[in-house]
Formats: sequence, structure tokens, C-alpha cells
Amino acid sequence: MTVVEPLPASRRPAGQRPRSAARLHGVARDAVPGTDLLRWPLVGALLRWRWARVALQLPLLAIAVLMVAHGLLGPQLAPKNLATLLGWVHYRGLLVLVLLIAGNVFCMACPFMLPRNLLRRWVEPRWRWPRWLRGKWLAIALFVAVLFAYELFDLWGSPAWTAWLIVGYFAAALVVDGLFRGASFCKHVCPVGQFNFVASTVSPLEVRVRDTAVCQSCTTMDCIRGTREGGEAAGDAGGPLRVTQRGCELALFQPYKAGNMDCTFCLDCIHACPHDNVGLSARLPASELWEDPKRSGVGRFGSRPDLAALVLVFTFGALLNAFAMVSPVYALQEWLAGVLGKVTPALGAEAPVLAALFFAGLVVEPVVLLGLAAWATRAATGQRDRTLVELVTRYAYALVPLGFGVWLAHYSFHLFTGLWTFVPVLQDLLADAGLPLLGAPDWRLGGLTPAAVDPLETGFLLLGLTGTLLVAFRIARREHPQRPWGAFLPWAGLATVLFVAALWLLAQPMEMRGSFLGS
Amino acid sequence: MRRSPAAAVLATGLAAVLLGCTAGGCAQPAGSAADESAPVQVDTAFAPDPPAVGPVELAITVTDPSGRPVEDARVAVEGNMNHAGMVPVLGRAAGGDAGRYTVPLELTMGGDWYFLIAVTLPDGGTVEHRVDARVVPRP
Repeated sequence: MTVVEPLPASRRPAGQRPRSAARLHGVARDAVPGTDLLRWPLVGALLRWRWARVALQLPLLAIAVLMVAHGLLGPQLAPKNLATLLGWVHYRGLLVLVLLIAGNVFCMACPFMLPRNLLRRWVEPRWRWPRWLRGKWLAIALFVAVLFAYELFDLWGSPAWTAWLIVGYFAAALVVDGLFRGASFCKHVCPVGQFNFVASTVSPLEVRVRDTAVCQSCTTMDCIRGTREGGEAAGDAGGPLRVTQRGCELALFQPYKAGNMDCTFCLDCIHACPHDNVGLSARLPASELWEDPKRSGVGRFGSRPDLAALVLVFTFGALLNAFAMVSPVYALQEWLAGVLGKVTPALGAEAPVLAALFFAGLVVEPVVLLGLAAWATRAATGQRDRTLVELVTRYAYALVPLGFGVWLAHYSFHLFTGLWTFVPVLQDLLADAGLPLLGAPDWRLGGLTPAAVDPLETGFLLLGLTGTLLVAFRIARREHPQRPWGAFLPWAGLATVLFVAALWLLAQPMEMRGSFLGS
Repeated sequence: MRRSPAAAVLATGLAAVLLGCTAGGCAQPAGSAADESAPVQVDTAFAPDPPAVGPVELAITVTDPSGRPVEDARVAVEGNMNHAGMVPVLGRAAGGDAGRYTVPLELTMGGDWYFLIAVTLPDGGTVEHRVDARVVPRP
């Protein structure tokens, strides 16, 4: 894996640094004219404002505090508590919809970063994130663990533990970024961040250089170094001078940055660039998935099996998460419980059954299906010099649109069918607090009927399938220019199988099951 | 490969920070059986049993500690799924011949539900009772 790391800090005065981006042949392309949100009225002014991110974070921090308080002190009934309601219905639904129509806005507005940034005003972290923990493997493990815990412990049904989960995120961000430099928590740890990074590869907006020619003549590279008092570079080497503007803490150097992977939309590079040369522009969604340049802070997708594994967990995890809510899962669980109960009676039924389902869904199924597709591609193209792992690593990214379509279908169902359910809960909360400002709770407030949401879900799946087929074909054309169709068809077959599986899931009687194996 | 002490601590402790929070979620939302100190006994039965998606009837029998039926009470039922985001179903009944109150409900989805039953007794006292049920698809 080749990663362009932030350059070491220099103590040279600004403007006298000998290195220039001119000799760096970056991969950034000029932004599409007219699509830069920073040049739009109002929105542009807001985003260019120095405190723009804080202004977005503060409301989410207030909501997070409210959720924690209500989760710990309010009624322990999931539909009547803001922790479970806002956390598992509204936040997740809005998250995927905003990723679809804009970009990684929720990382931009992440409230976990506020206390962390406050801490860093006084405490400068000492260590670099250890090399052996770089990459996405730790984050993948945590992502899977959160999915597993969600199912095993019925987190959607437990306001108190949903509140503790939120507190845990705040604490983890503080601890990790209190010890380690840069945005170590975001880049290497945060499961929500990894979800957003993968999903935002199909988003229409991207933080990108406006004019690459300007970068070629740039000598300060503040977009990644940042600045300290007196115009010094902030870098990552530390020093007694206070940072006045952070550069990219995720090691994404704008001239080399391509796409949204690992980008939190934090706006630091935008504020740091002395040439006002970084914008927030439109691009063709998912186009970054078929291109494979060497990306700053990321490297080549085709050389990142950890990223490919993250994409597979993202995609197959979407199916698994949806599968856990439909009727046939009961029969399968009970059958598995019967089998495993005889093998591991001491462990009980729940954890082993769920572990078996996760192993089948996140390991066996991807290995078999993608292995077959890669084998067929190699056979069809005659390229014996490429291993199956190499092919899987390259083509796995094509599954992102379909995986995102499944998440969209699932989470938007909950959001749209429960859109207004937070209103009576808020009314009830205020009434209990002696402030009946919103009147008596109207528990009839809901949202769309499930039948009305069905076409939307199917549409999201079709959109995902279309995107996956497009990306797979573009990858095939780039990787196998002699026989693109032969290379493409196995992946088209795989995408179709997954699409049909997702459609079948949607057609099943939905069951908002709450307790695993009826526990 | 050199490992910093903080990294070693972090590697083993990080998962615990996030997972420790989630793992504690094994506690179920507070269930509520009949309150032993309550002045009446509340028994319930669904028709069909198990309850299926669509119209069902929840028969609620209210008796006093000596087993005599309690009539002329008012019974309100609120059914919720234990997943947030669904509109509750509401039902009422009054009269109660032989202490039996039948509340019609329209269950909107299969899955795990809980039903909060509020009984207002003829003397104005109230009793609350909770029933959990798994609602199955209608055959």
C-alpha cells in the first residue's frame, strides 16, 4: 500500500519553502464549473465561514445530549424514547438520504469531534497512529462488532444502552484523538465513519481542487500542513505554537486527492488553502470506483484488500441487516439453534446462532460468490497472471452502489414510515417536564404506509443495481480492454443474484423483530 | 516493527470501549408482569392466538383478589412494536360482562409487540398491565 503521508512540518517562514506541488503530478481534476457549492449564494457563504462546521455540529451535539439524557432517564420503551427513535430511525434514514443527494455531511457535522477539538486546545497528542494498526482492518472488526451487537443485544429496543453507545463514541473519539495525532479516530476506528466513507463514493459532491494549475505553483501546501501562529506550518511534528488552521488530518493532500474515500468533509483544507482553490463540487457519482489512481492518503483501490473487505462488509452487511428483519429468519434461527444447541449447549443458542449467520453472510457468501466471479473473469479473459484475490480486490468496489441501495431501501423504510413519530415523544417529554409547549402527545402521528414506501425501496435497489453494473463494466473495460464483456458478465451475474436476493427480502413479510430467538 | 505503548493499550482496549457500551445492551426493556399489589387481576388472551397481522381481538378479564369479575371498568389498550418508529395501535372497551372486556385491534406488522393495558376501575383507581406478544404473518 502506498500512501502519501503529510509532509513533516517545517519551521521555515511561510513562502520560503523550497518544495512545490509543481513537480507533483497530482490526480486531481479541475472541478466542474458552476457546481461548486462554495460559490453559491448563502450556502457558499455559510460553508466558507470559519465556524461553519461548528455551527453544524452544535445542533447535533445538543440532540446527542438530549438522546443520552432521555435514553438514561426517560421511559425504557423504544418507541417512546428519543435515544432509540432518533438514533435508529431518523438519524440512519437521514444519513443515507443525505449521502445520496449530497455527500458526507454527517461526518462534517459530527458532534463527537467537538469535545475532541476542545481537548486539543490544551492537549496535543504525542503519538502517531501505529503503523501496524493502519488500514481498515481494525475499523472493519469494529463495524462488524457493532452490527453483531446490534442484533444480539437488541440495541434498537434499549434506550439506555443506545445512550451508552453514544457516550461510548464520544469517549472513544476523545481517548483515541487525545493520544494520537491527526484524525486517527475518524480514519482508523469509527465504524460510522467507515460506513460514510464507503457510501460517499456514490455521492454527487466531492471536496476537490478548483484549478490544478494553482496547486502546481503552490509552495506552502497549507491544505495538508495547516498553519500555526506566525504563519508557520502546522504539520504533524508538533511544536509550541498554537495551530491557527488545521490542514487535512486524514492525510489527503488535495493535488493527489481523488474521490471521497476517507474524506470527512471537515472543510479544513478549504479554510487552509491560501489560494482559495478548494471547492465542494459536483461530480459523476461512483465514478471514483472505476478509476484507480494513486490517491493521497489512500493509495490505489486495487492495492487495498482491507478497503475491498470493508466494501464487502458494507454490501453483504446490508443484506444481512435486512435479512434479520424478515419472517424467514425466524425459521432459520430456530433450526440453527436446534443444531448448534446440541453442539454447544453450554454457550446457549443466541450467540452461536448469530455468529453462524454472520460467518455465513459476511465470510462464506462473499468468498464463494466473489471467488466464482473472479474465477469466471479470469477464465473468460485468459489472464492467468492475475490472482483471484487481485481480481476480487479490484472488482469488489463495483458492489458499493448495490450495497448502498440496500441500506437506502432499508433505512428509508424506517424513516418514511416513522417520520413524525418523534413529535408525540417530544410532546410527552415536554409535558413530563412541566412544559407542555407542544400540546398533548398525539400518538397517531406516523408517516407513510409501508405500501407507499415499497416503490421507493424498489427504486433504490434498481438504482443500486444500475450503478453496480455501470461500475463493473467500466472496471472491466479498464482492466481487460481486450475482452471487457467477458470480464464484465460474471460480475453482472453476481450483481443480479444479490439484487434478486434483496428484492426477495423486500417481498417477505416484514417483521420488526426485537428479541433474538424470543429472548 | 516498533509499537508504541499507547498503541498496545489501545489495540486491546479500543474494542472494549465501543463494544463494552454495546455489549451491555443485553438488558431488555423493562417488562412488567401483573403488579402483585394491584387490587385486581388482569388476564389476557388473543384471538387468534398467536396474534396475526390484521384484525385481532384482545380479551381482557379483570377479577378482584377473591376471583369475582370486575364490571363497569374502562379498559384502554396501546399496542407498540418494540422497534421505534411505528405508530401505536389503540383500542378501548367498557362494560365488561362477567369482567370480560374485548378490545378490537388492527395489528399493522408482524414482529415483537408489547401491549400496555390501562384499566380504570369503577372506584376511579387505575391498574396498568403489560403483555408482550410476537405477531405472526396472517396465513
